[in-house]
Amino acid sequence: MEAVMVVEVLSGHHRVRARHRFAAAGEVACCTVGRSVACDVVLDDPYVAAVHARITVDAEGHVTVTDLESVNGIEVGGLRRHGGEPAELDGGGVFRVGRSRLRVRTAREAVAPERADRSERWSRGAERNALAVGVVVSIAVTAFQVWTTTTQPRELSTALVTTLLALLGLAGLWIALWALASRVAFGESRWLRHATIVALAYAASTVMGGFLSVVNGSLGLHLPSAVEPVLFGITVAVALSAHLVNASPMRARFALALGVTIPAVIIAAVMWTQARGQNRSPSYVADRDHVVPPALVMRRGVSLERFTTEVTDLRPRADAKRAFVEREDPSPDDEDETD
Amino acid sequence: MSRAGPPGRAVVRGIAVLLLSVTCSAAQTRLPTDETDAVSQPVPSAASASITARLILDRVRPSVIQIKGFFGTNTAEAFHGSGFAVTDRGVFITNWHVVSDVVLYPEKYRLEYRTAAGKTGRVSVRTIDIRHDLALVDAEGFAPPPLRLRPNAAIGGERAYSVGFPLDVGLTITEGISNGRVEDSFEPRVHYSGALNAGMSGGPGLDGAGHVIGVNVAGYRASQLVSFLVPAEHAVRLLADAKKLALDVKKARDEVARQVRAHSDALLAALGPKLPTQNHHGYELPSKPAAFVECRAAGDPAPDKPISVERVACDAKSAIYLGRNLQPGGLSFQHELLSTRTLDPWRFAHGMQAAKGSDDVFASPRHLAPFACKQKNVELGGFTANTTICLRAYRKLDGIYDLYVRVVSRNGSRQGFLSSLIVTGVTPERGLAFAQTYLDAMQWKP
Repeated sequence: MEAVMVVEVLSGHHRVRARHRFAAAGEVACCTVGRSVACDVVLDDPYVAAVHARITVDAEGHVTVTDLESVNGIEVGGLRRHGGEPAELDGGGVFRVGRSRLRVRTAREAVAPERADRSERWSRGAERNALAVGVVVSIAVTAFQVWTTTTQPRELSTALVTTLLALLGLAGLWIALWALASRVAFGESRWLRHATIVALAYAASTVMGGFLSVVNGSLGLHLPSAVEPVLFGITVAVALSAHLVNASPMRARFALALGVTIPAVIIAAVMWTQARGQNRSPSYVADRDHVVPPALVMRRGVSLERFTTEVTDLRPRADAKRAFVEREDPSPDDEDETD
Repeated sequence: MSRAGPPGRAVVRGIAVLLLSVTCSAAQTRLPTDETDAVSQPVPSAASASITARLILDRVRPSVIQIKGFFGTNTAEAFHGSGFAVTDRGVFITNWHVVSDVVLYPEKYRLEYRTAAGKTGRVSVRTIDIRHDLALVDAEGFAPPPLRLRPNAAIGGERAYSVGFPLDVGLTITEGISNGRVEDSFEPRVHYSGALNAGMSGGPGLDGAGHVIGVNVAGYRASQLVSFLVPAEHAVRLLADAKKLALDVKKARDEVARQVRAHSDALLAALGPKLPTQNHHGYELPSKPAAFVECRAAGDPAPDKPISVERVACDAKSAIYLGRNLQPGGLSFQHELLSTRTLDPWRFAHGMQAAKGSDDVFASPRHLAPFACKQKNVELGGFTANTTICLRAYRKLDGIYDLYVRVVSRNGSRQGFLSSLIVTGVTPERGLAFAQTYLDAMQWKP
């Protein structure tokens, strides 16, 4: 049996500054900590004694720390100790000597399995292709949208250029922020990765939104207005999770949870506020269905007779809304003073 | 026509002309422009007639009272109007809109009278006729000789006078000309070409002999000396029915709702079972259904946009005043017609989507509950249209609703229309039946 430990000198951010390995063939391995070169672990800390403390580990991996009559003592588990009594280190293995933080790791420590490196799952070539597809689709869809909304031919080119430039600027800023985060976390910017995520997400959400409204209009589905924001939210969640995985060391599961939660909370809050406003406003009429060219209308409407029999349930529904509003007395602000 | 006494929603309702409620002004301090307007209006000079005016004023002076409304226990008035004696037992006639706040909120408002001589006392409401904007009130401890009513007597060109307490400046007589009955008004009105100002509502409109030909009601604020009287025969009828229709203060709201319903029923009945139509770009759409409905059409004469737009708006001007932001009994509809020569169907459809139409459905949440709507693609006469029908309930008036109908055509790739209809203060049965009449009238006849 061999007694082994690794003593790590930590920075204020818990980064490891130095690492010392001690092993002894016998029952116990030990080392000393202090400012003196005679020590096994040398610290440049003016609050540390020349020979400050001793760390021992047994074959089972139990670690004890003993203060060697220093002025400042040692701090274990939040308690400052002076002299004599060896203190046992708990699971984290961190203690303080002077103003330095040390961590002791032993063979008892469970080692997490190797994390699969997803960042290299796609070849660079495939990624470039995905980026190209995303960019081309995004530009095409945006150009189509600009063309749809611009009825004056002479305004088309200006509108196209300004919209695409604005979009490019925003996307660039977004990619730059994520690349910066990646650089901090991993030391590499991963421009290509973040650009691909943005391009694909934008392309997906615009294509889906357009497709949905055309289908809705041509089949006369009268889909609730919540469908579109929900689909948009899903796209954002996927994109955000992908960004997070590539810009921080967090696990995929956690990144997904965060990526879903943030857009879900924002979109739900906005939708709730809107729905509440609409439910309380006597001036709000149902949203208009999407208009599509007659050639795309796939389904005939109902007959007027059928529709007029269907609307007879409006009275109880209107009465129900009356009761709903009455329960909460409107504040004086509700009484508008506009003339 | 709506009175803007308590300044109404009329403005937002899109009525081009600002209407000034002649009488029951909410405290004048809130309407400074009324005063300046009133001052700037020229008064017809007629030196020869001034003797008649003086005689008439002397004669009616004892019988005309100022009716003041007070909020809570305040001694400063909230609004005021005029009234005049119609029986020798202290029964006075005034406008409904002078006393409406007291009827609807009896726990918040009270009424007092003040005679030209300065005597004051309590006033209580006896009977109301919302549709004709009349009310009978009792003045406690004051029973002057009544004025004589002269029904069916408004002759165009006859000299006429109006007496009341305008803007709190004391008993005033104005002189003008009666222009007889107004032809295109749903509610019967006498057109009086003379000044009527806020505070004169409920005062008598008189002929040269000092007989009452009508009750002061309203004036157009933006025009000069165009004023209206309620014909005296409605006052006579109200007086005859007074016993039968005695107002139960506790059930006043039910009575108000009942009268609004009766008004709307009469309005829709007057429009008939079938609406006339006019062809716009191939669509037969409802057009001016009765003489009293005012229709306006406008478009862009030199369109520089690929989609040209025409708008037709019709208004029955039949809304009745119940309070601020509460004027049911109206009916209006609008068509917005879009057409293009240059655009492809896809972009034209987008233009239809972006077209605003006129969703003029503003209402105060204090008085109305939100809409309940149903939206479907419906096969109308030869074309498909996206159709929405909505109802919203009045919060404190039972059995009346606002109906809203919106139609967006779906068949045209180069032309289309958006149409909307709003009928306020109607029963659901009558309202939905009228919605069907409205939709039935629409046809595709290129």
